[in-house]
Parts: sequence; C-alpha cells; structure tokens
Amino acid sequence: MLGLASLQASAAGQCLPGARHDEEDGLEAANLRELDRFLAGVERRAFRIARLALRDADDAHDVVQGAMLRLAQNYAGRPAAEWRPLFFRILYNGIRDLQRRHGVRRRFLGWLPGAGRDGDDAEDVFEQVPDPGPEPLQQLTAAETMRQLEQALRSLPARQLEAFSLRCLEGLDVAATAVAMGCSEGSVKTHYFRALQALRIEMDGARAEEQA
Amino acid sequence: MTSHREQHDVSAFERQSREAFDDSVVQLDAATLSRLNQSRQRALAAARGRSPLAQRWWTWAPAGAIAAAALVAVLLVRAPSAPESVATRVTDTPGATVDATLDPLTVLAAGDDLELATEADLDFYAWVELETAGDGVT
Repeated sequence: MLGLASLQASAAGQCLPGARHDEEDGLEAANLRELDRFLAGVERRAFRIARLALRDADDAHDVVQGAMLRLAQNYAGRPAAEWRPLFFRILYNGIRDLQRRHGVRRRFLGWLPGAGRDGDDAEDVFEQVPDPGPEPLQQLTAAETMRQLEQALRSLPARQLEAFSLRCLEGLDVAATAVAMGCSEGSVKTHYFRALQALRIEMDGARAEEQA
Repeated sequence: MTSHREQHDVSAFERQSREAFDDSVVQLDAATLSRLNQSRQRALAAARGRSPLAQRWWTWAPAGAIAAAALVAVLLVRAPSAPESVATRVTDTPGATVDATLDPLTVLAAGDDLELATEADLDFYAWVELETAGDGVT
C-alpha cells in the first residue's frame, strides 16, 4: 500500500516539523508538472467539499488555497500517490480551524447587529448560469438532488460529513479516508455508515414533503 | 491506492449522490475556476521558489561543525605551547644564574616581588654597612 502508518504519523499536524527533510533539494520540473496536474484535478472537488462543510464560497477558497500551499511547500517531494489523502487531511484541518474560529467569533460577537450573518446567505455558485454540460432535464434533476443533498448534509455531525464527503463524494477508499481524517479505519466505517443512514432518512423525508 | 471511482459496492443512494456532486463540480462558474487556478499557480510558485540551500540547511550543519573543529585544531597545533620566557633567553648566555622558570608573565603575576625597597629597607642596609665596616668586611 502506501505506508499508511508513516503517512498517519507524518500527517498528524497541519504543517509538520521536518516534513521537508524527506524531499529532494529543489523540485524538478517533472515533479512540478505532476503536482500541477494533481492540484488541477483535485481543486474543483476540494472547493465543493469545502463549501459543503463551510457553506461559504470565500471561506472555501481560502481553505483550498491554504491546503494547496501547504501541500506544495511541505509534501511536494513525497510520492504522488500520497498526495490525495494528505491534501484532504490538510483541507479538513483548515476547515475545522475555520469552523472553530467562526464559532468563537459567533460566541463573542453574536450579540452585535448583523454579526449573525453566515455563509448561508452567500451567493450560491450553483444557482448561476451553468456551463454547457448535461442535458437540461438531467441537469435539473442533478441540481435538485444536489440541493437536497446539501440540505441534508447540514444536519450531519462534522465527522460524519467528513467521512461521507471523502468516501462517497471524493471516492477515497477506507484506508485513505482514515489517513485524511486522522482516525482508524473502523471509525471511518462507523462514521460513514451513520452518515448514510442519516442522509437517507433526511432526504426521503424532504422528498416526501415536497411531493405532499 | 485511491481511484476516483472506487470499486466498493455502491448503493443507489451513494451513486446518485456522487453523480449529483460530480455535476455540481462540472457546473462551477468561470470566476470560481479562475480563482482556483490562481490559487494553484500560487502554490506551484511557492514550491518552485524554495531555496535548495535553505531547504537543506540540516545537511550543511555537520559540515560546518567539522570545518570549525578543524580550524580550532589547526590553531591549537600551530600555536606555541608556552610563551618564551625572558629567563630562557638569559640562560642562553654562559654563566648566567637566573632562575630559568622566570618569565615575564610570572614576574608580572608575582606583584610582591616588584615592590621597590622601602625607606625602612634603606635604613637597614645603611646600618648593616656601618656594622660591618669595622669588621673589615667589604
């Protein structure tokens, strides 16, 4: 596999002391091209996942940019196969940090007028004009499903949301999800199973309401 | 290790969720894509701009320590083991009876020896001269 134990150990923090020690001196052009390809392939999905968790486009941008920078600065010299779980681990560390900061801000400044405004009020990029893609009817169905899914995801606890996003939406396997989440594979399975159950119930309820 | 489309058994719900998510990724607007592209370029520039020397300072540290140790060793070997004493120079001349262990540093360190004869000493020497003059001692 990937040497997941070493990955677990090395990815324990956001920015790990000595992380650069494993790297070659200077990144070769080929390595940079590979990193570019990786980031280009993952950036949109990472942004959507961050936005699902943070419910704010600007915050999602900040977190994705931070994760990209950190990966490039600290882990670019590592094998490319390790990048994906490392990247999502950094991304979720950033998401949690931001949520914590927002929580503190809300607690202390919540009584101020206008301080309660959150990312929920932000403009939804998915309501904007879509690029040419799927057929309109199919697109409508997908957009509707996504809207319901986003709504249902808001009811999930943070760890279940992480497990669902990484495992189902991003398509990481259990081991890589465990690295990204910084927990055991058993915990991943538990969080994921509970997330699926909760989401099914939530979405079935929402659909039943809409049909009624 | 990780493929985008996992081989695990996906339920209809999981498949539907993933398809909806994939569609939402495809539909990201141009402004968002541009911003993401800028972020990526920034990250790549950061990776490109790292100084190899600064990055590998830990490999230069032992080399620096070895160089410093070598310099100290050379200085110790080439330095004279003990300062050349005045007495040694004096004893080079035949018949000299000066204490060979005396060197300027020792003389300077022994502050009492540098004191000039006091007035009482001069009186003593004058008395000795008077006492011995009668005895025929010269």
